[in-house]
Amino acid sequence: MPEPTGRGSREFLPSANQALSEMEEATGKPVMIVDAPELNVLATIRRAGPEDSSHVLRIKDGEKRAADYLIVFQCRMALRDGLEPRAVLRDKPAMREQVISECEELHGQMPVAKARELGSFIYDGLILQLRSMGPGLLVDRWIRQHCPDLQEAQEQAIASEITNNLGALQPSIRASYPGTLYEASISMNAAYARFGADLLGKPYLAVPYLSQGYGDKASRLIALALEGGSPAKEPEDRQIIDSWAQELGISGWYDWSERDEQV
Amino acid sequence: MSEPQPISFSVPEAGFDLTLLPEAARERGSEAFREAVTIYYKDAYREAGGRVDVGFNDGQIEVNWEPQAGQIPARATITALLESGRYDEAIPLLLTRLQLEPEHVESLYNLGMVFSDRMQLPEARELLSRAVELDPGHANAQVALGIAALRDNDPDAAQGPLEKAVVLEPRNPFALRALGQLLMMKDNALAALPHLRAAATVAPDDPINLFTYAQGLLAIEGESHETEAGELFKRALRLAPVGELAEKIKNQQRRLAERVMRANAQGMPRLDAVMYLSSALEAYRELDPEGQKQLLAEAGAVGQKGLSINSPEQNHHLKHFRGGTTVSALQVVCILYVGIQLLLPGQDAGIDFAREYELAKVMSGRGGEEK
Repeated sequence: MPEPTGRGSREFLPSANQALSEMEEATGKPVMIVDAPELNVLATIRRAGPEDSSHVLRIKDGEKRAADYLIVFQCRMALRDGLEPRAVLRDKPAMREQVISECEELHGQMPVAKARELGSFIYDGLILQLRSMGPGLLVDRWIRQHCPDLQEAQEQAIASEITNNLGALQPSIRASYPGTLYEASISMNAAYARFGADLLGKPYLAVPYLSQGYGDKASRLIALALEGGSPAKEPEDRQIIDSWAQELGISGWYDWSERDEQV
Repeated sequence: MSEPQPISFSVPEAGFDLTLLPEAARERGSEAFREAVTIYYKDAYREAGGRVDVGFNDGQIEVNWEPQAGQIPARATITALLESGRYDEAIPLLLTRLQLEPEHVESLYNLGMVFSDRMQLPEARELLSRAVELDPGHANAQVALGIAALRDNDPDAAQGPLEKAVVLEPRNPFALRALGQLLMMKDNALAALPHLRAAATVAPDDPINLFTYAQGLLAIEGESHETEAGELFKRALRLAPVGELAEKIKNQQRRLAERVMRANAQGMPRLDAVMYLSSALEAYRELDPEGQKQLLAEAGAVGQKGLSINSPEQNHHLKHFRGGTTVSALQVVCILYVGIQLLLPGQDAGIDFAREYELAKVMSGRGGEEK
């Protein structure tokens, strides 16, 4: 079981403290920060439901300075759609089954159970990526503009994420993924790299994707996220996600439900 | 600033975007293709420094970039170079960026601005035209394109971008000022004034705009805006007390003063000026050549600070005038005028006292004698 670190076990930067306070004031419930080395992403937040006493923010490595950035990122993500229960992306069993079946075909030499597990894993990964990447651009832009104390941590986290994502360009990974799913995932990675490159002033971060012709698609995805709203209001998560799915050709791959359980 | 991390990735040769390569190098797998791909990646990482290795293996392009420790990110470098006017160093970085991303609007805009400042106007206009074509909502690029066209003596081409910029950002002081200047160049002061007035509201400390605005006010026929224009000249001079603009402002101040003076005299020669010019002629006559030069220099120095010749309250002490005398601003201008006629004939005195000077020469017994 992950160990709760709570608040006060270490000193946070002002922006992180403020984000936690805002989250707590807005919802009336505290945020419990949990070290979670088992996570396969950097951090997650679970907003408290009516029966929960606190929100739970899991961070892969809570002691690193990047934790402050991740706290702000997750708190702002959690509050993006206001205080109403967040719309949640649900898997679509038929699409999951289709991905699993394509994986079975691709990995004929693999035991069926393993191939099914792999198919399920990469389907979930795509849905998680779709859920967080587009809205995350708005949050990262906000952090860059409003949190000078997080500049270095944000820079490190984004550059590191972009660099890690490059692993998906390896021929072996490319060969393991069903084509449509791979293209959708790489296109989202390209959008994130291009956005991060511009945000951090490090154009070289986007080179791997630009050299493969993903530049235009990346720009379209970025525009859908950053410019999809009105001048007075940013687009809601659901609007961004649906428009991204349409651009990526995966519109029918998920369902929406209204209850927030896991981000 | 965090240290950049090394980057390694693979791209299938079949997946490389051929439009990034010269046409002669687009046959995948060929020697020319591989050479061009290698150059592409080396260029792409050049502005980030460090070392790039590009290899080809089994249909894959393997790229490995090792950053050099302690380097500043490229955009910060470019921005710093541009802000400090180090254009020679910024230009290669911007060109590299555009080679990597030919449609990067900010780089097109920045390089266009640099070329415009260097009066490389055809290049500037081409880059800025591409920038606004790609992003018509980039108000600053529209302004820069308009200004480049103005510098290139093409006011007709300047008008469209400047009007777009004002529509895009009605409170952009550069857009308002440039459009106002353009309309002034086209002798349409009436159309220019609203833009110049708006620019003066959003940027009240911009001496160039205040100066242009004042000129616009004075250019309107049949209306009397001398007092407002005079105030604007004074404000502009306080903001830019030295330099080329200051000289232009002072020159305009003198012309405005003369205009007011003429208006007050209803077109007749001013008798007070005739008297002062006559007195100045006598004073110069009493001095040896060195003393004359000293008096002219002293009057010129006082004049540099700006003179209100229509204000009898403004007095100045001239120690080389008749052994040290306190005189009015109009008198200083007359002493300056006479000095220039005697010692620097042909030079613009900044005010036209020709009729008064002819009368003064007759009065002081020097009619028809210039030297």
